[in-house]
Amino acid sequence: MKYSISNWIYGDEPLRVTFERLRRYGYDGVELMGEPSLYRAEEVRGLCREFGLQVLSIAGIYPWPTEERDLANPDPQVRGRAVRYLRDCVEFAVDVGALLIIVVPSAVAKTSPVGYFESEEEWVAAAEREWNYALESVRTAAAYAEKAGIFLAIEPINRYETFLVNNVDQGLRFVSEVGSRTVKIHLDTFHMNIEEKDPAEAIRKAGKLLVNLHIADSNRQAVGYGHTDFKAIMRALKDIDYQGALALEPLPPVPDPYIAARLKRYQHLRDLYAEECIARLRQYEREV
Amino acid sequence: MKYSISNWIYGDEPLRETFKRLQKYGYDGVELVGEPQRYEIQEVKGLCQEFGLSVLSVLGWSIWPLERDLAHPDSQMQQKALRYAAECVDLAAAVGAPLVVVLPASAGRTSPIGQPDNERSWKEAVAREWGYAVESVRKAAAYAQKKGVLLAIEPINRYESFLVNTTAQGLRFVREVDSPVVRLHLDTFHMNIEDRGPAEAIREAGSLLVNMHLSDSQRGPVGHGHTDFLAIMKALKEIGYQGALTMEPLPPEPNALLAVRMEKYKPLWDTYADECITRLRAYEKAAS
Repeated sequence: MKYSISNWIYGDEPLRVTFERLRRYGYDGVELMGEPSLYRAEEVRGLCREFGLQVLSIAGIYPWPTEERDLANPDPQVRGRAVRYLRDCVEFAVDVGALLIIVVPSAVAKTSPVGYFESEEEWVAAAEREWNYALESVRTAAAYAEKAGIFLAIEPINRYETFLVNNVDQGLRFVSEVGSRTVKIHLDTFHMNIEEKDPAEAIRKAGKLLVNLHIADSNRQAVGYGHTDFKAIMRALKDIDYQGALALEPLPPVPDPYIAARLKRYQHLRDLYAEECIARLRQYEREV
Repeated sequence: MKYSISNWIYGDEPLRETFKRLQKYGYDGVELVGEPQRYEIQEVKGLCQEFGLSVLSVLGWSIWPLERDLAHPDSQMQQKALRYAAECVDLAAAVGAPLVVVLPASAGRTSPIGQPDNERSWKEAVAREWGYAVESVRKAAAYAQKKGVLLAIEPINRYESFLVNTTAQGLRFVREVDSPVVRLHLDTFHMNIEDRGPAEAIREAGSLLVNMHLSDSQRGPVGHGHTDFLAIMKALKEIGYQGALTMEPLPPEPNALLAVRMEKYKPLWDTYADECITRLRAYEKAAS
C-alpha cells in the first residue's frame, strides 16, 4: 500500500515542514489541498525530489456558503465558477504529477438544497434538481480532466456535511450516471462509520472504481483512537486489489475539523499521529 | 429491560396512534418530546391506563434557535431556558415520568455565541458557556429535586454541539453540577461518532446512567447499521442498568427533522418499531 497524508490537516504549515515529517515516518507521498494559488508547482516538484515523495492526490475544497465552488448550485454562474475551479485543480494536478482530484458533488456543509421550501415534497424535488446539476457539472469537468489524464474521484460525505451524496450506494449511482471513464470514487473511513451499514462491505461494493481513500478513526482522530475495524477494511482493500493511496487525516479532539487543523495547542500531536497511523496500518496490512 | 420509543420521531402524529403502535409491539412506555403545550395531562394519563404504558421520560427539546439554551451568555436567555426546563419538569411530574433529558447547550449550535475567531477567544468562550450551563443546570436541578424528577445530561455529536460531545465530557459536566438529581443520558448514534468504545462508555457512566437512546450507526433501526448492540447490552447488564431503552429509529434521510415529517416514510414506522424491540430482546437474551 502507498501511504500519504492530506496536508489540509496541518493548516498553514509550510510545505517543507510537512514533507520532512512525511519522510521521517516513512510515507510515500502527500495529498495536497486543492488551492492551486497557494502553491508554486516548481517548488512542489523540487520538494518531491528532495524528500523522495510524490503528490498522490489533490483534495478539492468546496466551502459553503460561498458562491464559488458549488457544483450542484441552481445558479448556472455559480456552477460555471465551480467547474472552472475544477479545471484549475486539473492543471495543478498535471503540474505536480498527481493522479486524481477528490470531488464533492455539492459544497461541504451545505445540508439543504438552495432555496426555501414549503413542504417536504418541494425539498425532495429541489434535491433531485441539484443532483442533476451536479451531474452536468462533473460531466463538463470530466471532459477536461480526461484529456489531461486526471481522475475525478467522487467523495460521499456524512449527512451533517451534505444532503446530496452521503453513502457509497449514492456515490456509485452518481458515478454511473455521469458515465465517464475518468470519474471514479473516493471513500473516507470517518464518513463511512456514520453512513455505511458495513464500511468494509462498502469498499467491496466500490471495487475497481475506488481510487483514493481517506483514513481517520471513528472520532476522526488517529488510527487506534476510535473503534473503526481497520483490519476488516484492510482485508476488503486486499480483496479488491486496491492500488490507490491510504491518505490519512488524523485530527485532534476538537469538534470542528477546520478549527482543529489550526489550533496551536495541538500541533505537538502532528508527529505522534503521523507515526502512530502508519505504524498501526502497516501492522494491519501485514496481518491480512 | 424496559422498552420505549421517543415520540418526536413521529412528527405530529396523534398520541393515540403512537400509544397503539407501542402497545401492539410490546413496548413498556413512551418518551414524550418536551413540548408541554402539546399535551393534555388528563389525556396522557388516560392513554397510559388504556394502553398499559408509562411515560418513562420527557425529552428536553432544546433545538437552536429556540430560546431554550441553558449555556447562552445572555442572562435573559438563560432565564427563558430555565423556565422551559421547569415546564418540562412539571410535565414529567404530572404524567409520572421519572426524568427529563437535558441538553446543556442547544442542539444545532456548533459554536459559542459571538463566533470567536481566534484560538484563545474561542477557548475562553467555550469555558464561559460551560460555566453558564453548569450554573443553569444547578438551578434547574434545585427545582427538579423538589418535584422528585431527575435531569439526565445528554452528550451529542460534534455536528450538533460544541459543548458536550463525549461520555467523558458528560460525566465531567455531571460531576461539576454535583446534584443528586443530575445524571447522564447516552445515545448509541452519538456514541458511535464520539466515543472510543460505546460499550466502554456505558461502563464508565455506570450507576449515573439513567436513560438511553438507541438507533443504529446510521440512525436507522437496530440491525440496519454496524453498532455492536450485543456488546452494549452486556455493558448495560454489567452496570445493573435500570433505565429504559428508548428507540429513535429514523428513515434513511440525511436531515432528521425533515425525515420525521415525510409522508413516504410513514409506512416504515410500524416495521421499525417491530424490528427494534425484536432484535434488542434477542440481544438481551444473548447477553444474560
